[in-house]
Amino acid sequence: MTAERSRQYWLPAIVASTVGILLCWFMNEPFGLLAPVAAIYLYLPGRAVWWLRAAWIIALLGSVVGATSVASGEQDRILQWTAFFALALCIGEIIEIKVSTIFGADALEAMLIVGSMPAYTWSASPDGHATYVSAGTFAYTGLQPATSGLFHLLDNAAWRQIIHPDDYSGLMDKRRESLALSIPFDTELRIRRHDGVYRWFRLYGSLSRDHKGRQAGWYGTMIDIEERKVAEQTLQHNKRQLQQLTDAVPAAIWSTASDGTPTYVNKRFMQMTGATIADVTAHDGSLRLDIILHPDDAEGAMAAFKRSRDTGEPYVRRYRQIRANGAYHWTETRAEPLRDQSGTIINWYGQSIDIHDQVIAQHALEQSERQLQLLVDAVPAMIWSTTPEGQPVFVNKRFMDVTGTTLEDATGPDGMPTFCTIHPDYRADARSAFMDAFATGVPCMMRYPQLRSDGSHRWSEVRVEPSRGENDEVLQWYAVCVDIDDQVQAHEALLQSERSLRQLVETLPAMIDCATPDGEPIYRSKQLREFLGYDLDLLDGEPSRLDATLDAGVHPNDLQGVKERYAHSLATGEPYARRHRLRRFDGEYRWVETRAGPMRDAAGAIVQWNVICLDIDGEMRAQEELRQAQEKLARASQAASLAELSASIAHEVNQPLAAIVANSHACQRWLTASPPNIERAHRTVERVIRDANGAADVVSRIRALFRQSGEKRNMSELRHVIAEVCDLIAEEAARRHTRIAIDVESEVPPVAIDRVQIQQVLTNLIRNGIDAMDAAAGDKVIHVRVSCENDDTVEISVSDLGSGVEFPEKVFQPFFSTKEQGMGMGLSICRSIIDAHGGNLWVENKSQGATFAFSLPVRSRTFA
Amino acid sequence: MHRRRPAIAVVDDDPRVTESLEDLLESAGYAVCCFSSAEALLACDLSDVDVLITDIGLPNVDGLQLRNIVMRRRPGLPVFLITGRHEIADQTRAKGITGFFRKPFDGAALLSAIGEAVGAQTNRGTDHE
Repeated sequence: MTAERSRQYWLPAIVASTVGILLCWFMNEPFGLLAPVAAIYLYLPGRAVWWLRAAWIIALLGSVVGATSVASGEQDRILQWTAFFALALCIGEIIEIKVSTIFGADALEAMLIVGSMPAYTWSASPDGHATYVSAGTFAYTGLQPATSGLFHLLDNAAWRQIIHPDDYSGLMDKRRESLALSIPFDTELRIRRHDGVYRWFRLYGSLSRDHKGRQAGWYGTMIDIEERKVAEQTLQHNKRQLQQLTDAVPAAIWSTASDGTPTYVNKRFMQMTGATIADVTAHDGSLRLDIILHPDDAEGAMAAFKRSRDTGEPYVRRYRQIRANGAYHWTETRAEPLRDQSGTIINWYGQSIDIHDQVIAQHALEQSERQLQLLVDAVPAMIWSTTPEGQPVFVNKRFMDVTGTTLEDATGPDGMPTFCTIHPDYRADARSAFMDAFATGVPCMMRYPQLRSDGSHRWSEVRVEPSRGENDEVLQWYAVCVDIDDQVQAHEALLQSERSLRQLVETLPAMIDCATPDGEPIYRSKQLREFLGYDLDLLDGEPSRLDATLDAGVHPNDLQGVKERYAHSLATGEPYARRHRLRRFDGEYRWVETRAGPMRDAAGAIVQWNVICLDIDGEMRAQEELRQAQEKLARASQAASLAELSASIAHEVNQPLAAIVANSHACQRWLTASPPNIERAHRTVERVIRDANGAADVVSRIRALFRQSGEKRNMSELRHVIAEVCDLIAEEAARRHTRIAIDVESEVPPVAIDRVQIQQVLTNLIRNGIDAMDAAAGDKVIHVRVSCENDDTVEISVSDLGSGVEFPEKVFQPFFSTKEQGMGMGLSICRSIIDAHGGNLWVENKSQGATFAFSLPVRSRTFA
Repeated sequence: MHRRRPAIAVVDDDPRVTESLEDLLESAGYAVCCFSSAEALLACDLSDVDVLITDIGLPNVDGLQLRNIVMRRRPGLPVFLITGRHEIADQTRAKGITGFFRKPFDGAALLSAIGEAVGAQTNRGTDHE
């Protein structure tokens, strides 16, 4: 407005200024310059006027001082400039007043324009108090201009009446801020309509200044923005609902801009992944997935997303996505582009669903299926299955490996099984059995030789069973084949072995039978059956097969002993062995040797008695014949021994006789010599007498031996008698490395004995003992013991450690000898001697060696 | 020339027999040396022995074995065997062995047999001289 106004005056101002400057030039007086000064005032801004005014005053004061102090010649000139400065100051002040008056009129004109506008307008003083409110505003609020005086007051009660209480403080804050900073005032608030309804308004005001830059006041409008606000709120509401919706959907939802920049992730996304939108946004604003995806999946997912972004193809991806707890879960993410009408992609919207459980379950299922497959292939059995009708649908790997047959081989052109793995000889039977099973639904089991990949056949056992549905209908048939060739072979071998053993038992040239632990026969070999002439079953009904067998078969004389021994063995488990006569089928009794042994189980209990019975009749007869021959021989040798005996006796007598005869001759010669040697003859005769007596002794002892007289008995201490014998025999015993141990009880009384005879007996017994131990390897000791059995009897025993006595009864018989050079008279004579003493002589076999013992009565009895 | 008495060795395990033979032979003027076993005799020098009389039934080395041993050492030495067991004498004689006497033997016969043997030896010895 100022510029417009000034433009109206600029032409006359330039003309006037030019005229004034020309006048000044020509007249050489400064007053012509008053015209440009006036023009300057017209266009100077307010502040410059102040400076010009100050300049005029200083110049005036300076010229006055100069006029009073200079010479009179110059004084006129200075006074002219003084007058000029005074005029310039006055003209300036006059023009200034005129310009101010013109601008005040412009403002009023503006107010009129504003007031007449069909809008809610207002104005206020620079300090913020309302100075004007348009009529429309009053009409809207329903307030009367009369009461609008309120607007002119400092009191804000009117504002409080029409401004929504929630907006009031905000408005006041805004007002204070604008006033303080002199910045435009712009706010939205609700203002009450005359009918009490608040509507949204935009309140705008800016500060106006006059041409001098002073604050002229505030001018503003109120624009009804209710429609927009409502639309905005609706939008906001819809947006919130959408937000709630997206947050409530059980899926992680997100969106990106068309270039892939993440723009939104829903609450669930954040809850699920623990990542915010910032986390999935790289520094350059692009999408980054490495933070939320498994390291193995991130790269692929990123590449796929970029591909979709570039091509517009929908994005589908499964990957492991991180969860708030740090774990990775399988997640499926799908994204689709949103396009505008021209088909340009505006946004990408995606959702991620946690499919971890499904994936894991699927993996588990796959794993389980794989394991099942492995199992089916690994079980040491051939497995196949068929449809309910019997059409093959599956054979396992082992089936193929073992039989060399595939599912195709096993399936015929009609889809039915070919049974090509079954040995041709068994195929027809197997086929009908299988078909029967398929038709009836009844499981079946079969054994047949089955093909092997090398073309051989091995026995297999096949079991076929149906698997049934809920309504009991057959869903599928399953078959398991197991190679049982080894078992079949083993069974066959076992049967063969059993047959062979039975044959062995049946053909052995021995009679064999088996019995229960209590002895009841349960089996008899052919030989025994033939010997007895009847079978076991003939004994059925008897209370005891064993007793019946024994009663019927064993010789009556042997029966008692046999039964006792059987009973003993059955009771104790000791092996049984006995010889007895057994009745043959033809009634003949034959000698048999029966031996039985118990068969025990692992625990040691008897499970069976095995009995072998040998016909030893021939041997027994041969033995009997041998015995008889031996007896004959013994009698013959007995006769020969008599000759030996007489020779021995002769020798015993001949020795002294020879000495006597020689001495007699010598004596005769001594006597017939000249001169006769009487002394020598005498000495020789003494010897003759001595030897003759010796010979007589021998004869009398032999007589005593045969007559067994009880002569020459003296009471003797056995201790001494034995000591003497031991002294006599000590040298021989030492030579033969034999020790003689003597043990005499202290309380043995003296006995009446023929000392020589008893010593002869002892010598004989000890020497026999030494002989018996000749061949012995161990210690050679003869024990001689004397004990007092009771008051009446003393017992003397001589024990050796030899091999014992074979015929304890026969050794005392005359002419019985086991020695090569023995006469067989020793023990016979000993027994005679002991008998003559009223005692007994006997022999016992001990665990090692034999003991010969004799008893002697303490008090001598009288013998006839 | 004075000749020494002939020496006779007697072997028998029965001292009664050796005693009586020593007496008899000494009465006939012989020098007698008695031994109780063959080993005892063989341990001595046999060079001075003129006649050997031995029992057959000796322990260890019997009379017949002794005779064989001595015959090898002193070939030609007269040996007389005596025994109390007549059956042995019978068996021995059957083998052609001479100089055999059964107990009880006749003293005169023995002496005469010894005398013959010693005489034959003396003659042979003279011939040699």
